[in-house]
Amino acid sequence: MKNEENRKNADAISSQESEISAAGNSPEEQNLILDVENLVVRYETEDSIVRALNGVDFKLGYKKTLGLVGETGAGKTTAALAMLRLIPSPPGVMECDKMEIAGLDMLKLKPHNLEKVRGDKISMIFQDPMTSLNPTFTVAEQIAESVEIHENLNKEQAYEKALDMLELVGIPRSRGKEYPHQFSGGMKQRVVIAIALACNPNLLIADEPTTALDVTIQAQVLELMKELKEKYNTSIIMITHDLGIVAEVCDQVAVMYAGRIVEEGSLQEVFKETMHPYTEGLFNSLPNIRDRKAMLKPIKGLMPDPSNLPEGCAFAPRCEYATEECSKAVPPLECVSGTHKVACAAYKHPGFVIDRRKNNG
Amino acid sequence: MYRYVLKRLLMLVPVILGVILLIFVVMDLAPGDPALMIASPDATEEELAELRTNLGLDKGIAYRYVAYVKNMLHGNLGSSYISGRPVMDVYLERLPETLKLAVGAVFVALIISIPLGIIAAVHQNTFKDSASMVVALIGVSMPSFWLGLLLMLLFSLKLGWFPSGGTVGFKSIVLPSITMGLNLAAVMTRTTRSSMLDVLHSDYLRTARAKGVNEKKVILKHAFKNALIPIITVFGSQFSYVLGGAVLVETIFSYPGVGKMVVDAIGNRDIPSVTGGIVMTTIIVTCVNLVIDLLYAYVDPRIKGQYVK
Amino acid sequence: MATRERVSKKYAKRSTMGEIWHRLKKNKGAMIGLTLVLLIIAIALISSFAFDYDTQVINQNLVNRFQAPSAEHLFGTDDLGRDIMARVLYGARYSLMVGIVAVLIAIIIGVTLGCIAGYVGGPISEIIMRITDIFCSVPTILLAIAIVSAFGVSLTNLMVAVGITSAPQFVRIARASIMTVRNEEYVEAAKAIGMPNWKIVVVHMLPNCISPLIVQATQRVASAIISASSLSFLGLGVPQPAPEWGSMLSSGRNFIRDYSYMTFFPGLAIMLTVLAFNLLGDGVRDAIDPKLKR
Repeated sequence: MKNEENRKNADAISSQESEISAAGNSPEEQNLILDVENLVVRYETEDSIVRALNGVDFKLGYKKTLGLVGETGAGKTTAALAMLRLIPSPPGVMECDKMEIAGLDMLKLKPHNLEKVRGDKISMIFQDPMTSLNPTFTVAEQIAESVEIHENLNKEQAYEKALDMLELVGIPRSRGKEYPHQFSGGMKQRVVIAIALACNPNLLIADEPTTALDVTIQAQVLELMKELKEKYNTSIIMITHDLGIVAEVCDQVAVMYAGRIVEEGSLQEVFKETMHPYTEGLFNSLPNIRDRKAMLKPIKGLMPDPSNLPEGCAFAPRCEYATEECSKAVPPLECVSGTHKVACAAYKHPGFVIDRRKNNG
Repeated sequence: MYRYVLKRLLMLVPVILGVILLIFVVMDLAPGDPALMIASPDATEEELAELRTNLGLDKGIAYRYVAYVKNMLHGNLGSSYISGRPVMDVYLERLPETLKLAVGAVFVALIISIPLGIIAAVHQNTFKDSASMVVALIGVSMPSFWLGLLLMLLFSLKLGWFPSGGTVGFKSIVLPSITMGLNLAAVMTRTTRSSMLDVLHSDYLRTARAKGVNEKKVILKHAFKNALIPIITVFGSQFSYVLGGAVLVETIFSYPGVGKMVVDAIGNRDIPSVTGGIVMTTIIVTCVNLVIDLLYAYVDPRIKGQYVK
Repeated sequence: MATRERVSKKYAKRSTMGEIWHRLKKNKGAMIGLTLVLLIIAIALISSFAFDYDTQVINQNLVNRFQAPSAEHLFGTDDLGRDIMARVLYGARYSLMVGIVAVLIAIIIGVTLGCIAGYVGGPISEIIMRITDIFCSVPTILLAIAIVSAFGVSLTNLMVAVGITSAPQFVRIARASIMTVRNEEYVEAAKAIGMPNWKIVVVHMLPNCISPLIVQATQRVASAIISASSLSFLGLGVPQPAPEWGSMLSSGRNFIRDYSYMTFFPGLAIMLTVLAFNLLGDGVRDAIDPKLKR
């Protein structure tokens, strides 16, 4: 009976997809996997309104990896949860002009259809592997659950597939019947990845997947993700505050600050042709391994309180180049060249160049 | 696993011996001369003295304690001063009745407290939550003997649905079980709610939702299984009160269980019955607690792992 | 910056006690509980003056038997013609006294033993904990019954019995608290300067367990009151004709069919008193450790 239901819902979803494929190339290659316009999220509590996301757009193509960069509190995790429609609804309010994932209109889907989509078309890996797994179920059971829900397999077949996934992420099949507490942090994260990829999602959102792991394990997990991306043709959003990771795995970059995107573009554009002062600040705060004696250069100040955002550019109070007009209105995200966009009022003045570009020429 | 069980059973022994000692000593301090109670009113002084020797009353307390324990191992808890019947026999006769009440109480408590506690936790801070908690608080504060009398008044004396005493089959168990159960239900509702609240903020629930598990399953399968452990703990510690409460409830409903046996015996200064009743009930409570402890290992794989090395 | 000053002013002024009191005040349930408790204490105190024991509380007035609640006798009269309301109000003192004194006894015994067990450790600790386990294993009411039937029925014995049965929890709490700070450096320092052991425990270690003790104490008063009235109900508590609520229920029980008001009001009194202490206890617990609060 459950399989019946699965099929009916799969039919509903695939009817949307077949419309797209009628248009020519295979749906994935032609269209965007992710198309989000003007996403706003705020949390309304008794005392205040926390504005977590203030109008962000995301567009991601087939098999591409987007790096979403920013400090804690920039709104990255909120954006990810919003894409899965998992923003907790009593305090959280989500508004969005358009949200399409793998061609599906996420805003129109009803809850039980959303459940079909989660884990199947789009899945997410969370930051802390130590707490992401249910301690009372074996790892294979937790992977198999995802398979059972989304694919037309019975319990035994789902369990077998779960064991296959374990092998895929480098864990011996025989350990499938063990419980999460019997695994180390790195292995737990692999299990989490196995769960996320078990049903071959089109889009994988990885929220700081390696932050809680030590550096050597981090490298392994990143390698694994790259391999699986190749194998499954998955598009990935890599949320991180670590620019090194971005450099290693991402094709595109979006830099977030106070719930808005301040700069975005290809990896080359953002890293080599940096434009936004905040992005410059992020790069400057990286220690320079070649000059061990140099002082660290953090960005002074703190990110503004999301329940009390300033009128103009949110970064202005901390910005070296800020002028009066910066505090008057929020600068829009404007296209500078090709896919490179930046939200900074300073560029209205021709010839404005940030220090980083001055040195690099 | 078996070694662990065995170890726990062995650890029970000193505790039980200690309990016997405690009750024995306390009851021994009770005033009254058993010989006078048993013998007929016109017994002579020699007959009384002989009776005392037979009862071992002329020996020191240590001797009598050891004798008591030895006898207990043979299933002999002495004989009632009033009826002369062996205490163990009377106790075992009445035990099933009390156990029926206990089972009924647990049943009532579980079907009320688990759903109510889960609903209160999931709808935290809404009306459903506050209302449940107020009701639970009242339930916890209500003395069981008052509740029993009120239930008896309404359902037995006014409405006549249930008998107000004795054992006439299933109907007699209903009111006493509900009385004992409602108290337990109130405690367990609060525990279930608080345990679920602990779990509801867990990250693995977020993982489950991101997998596409439907919300009902997230709560009932993923969250509840993790909430079970504290619930079981509290349930274990409450069981002692359930059996203790039987004393009051059986008195009110004139129900022939072991609770009433102890109360009647106290009134009659029937020391062996009191001692035997309390000791046996304590042993039962202790064993039930052990079983519940072992149940843990089944529910929480982390604990199971420690003992199946 | 002005904001920083304003913020630190708001939080700096309160000490820990002040913080706790502030949180307690915000909790509506706790305030209701506190008000009720104070009200009941006031009733108990005033009743000693308002009602003359001999004439109003225990004097039998057989002409007046079994009067239903009316303007003259708000709660009616009982089987011996006594005004139930007077008896109920006067009876508050017994429940309160037993509740509070029993818990005090439990604290004295429990904290002493717990401190010894926690501080000294070793075999003495083991013995104390085993003994505590033994007392804990016996269902509370059965143990209390045993003690009272051994030593006789009186108010004092009731308080002692309930106190003894409540002590084990305090032993555990005290011991756990002591053990958490046993290895702190300031303890070593105190020993090094030759401070006597008992002083170290009292001055340095005890303050550590005040919070859990207070929480447990308020909750224990509630259960002590129930234990006391349960025992009185069985005839093992405060001896007749004292108007203890439990024993009033017991005598009312015989007439429940026709004169149910005899059982209703004393029982209601018990419930409200216990409810008050439970509300207060919950509130105190939440105020002392907000992390536990939902």
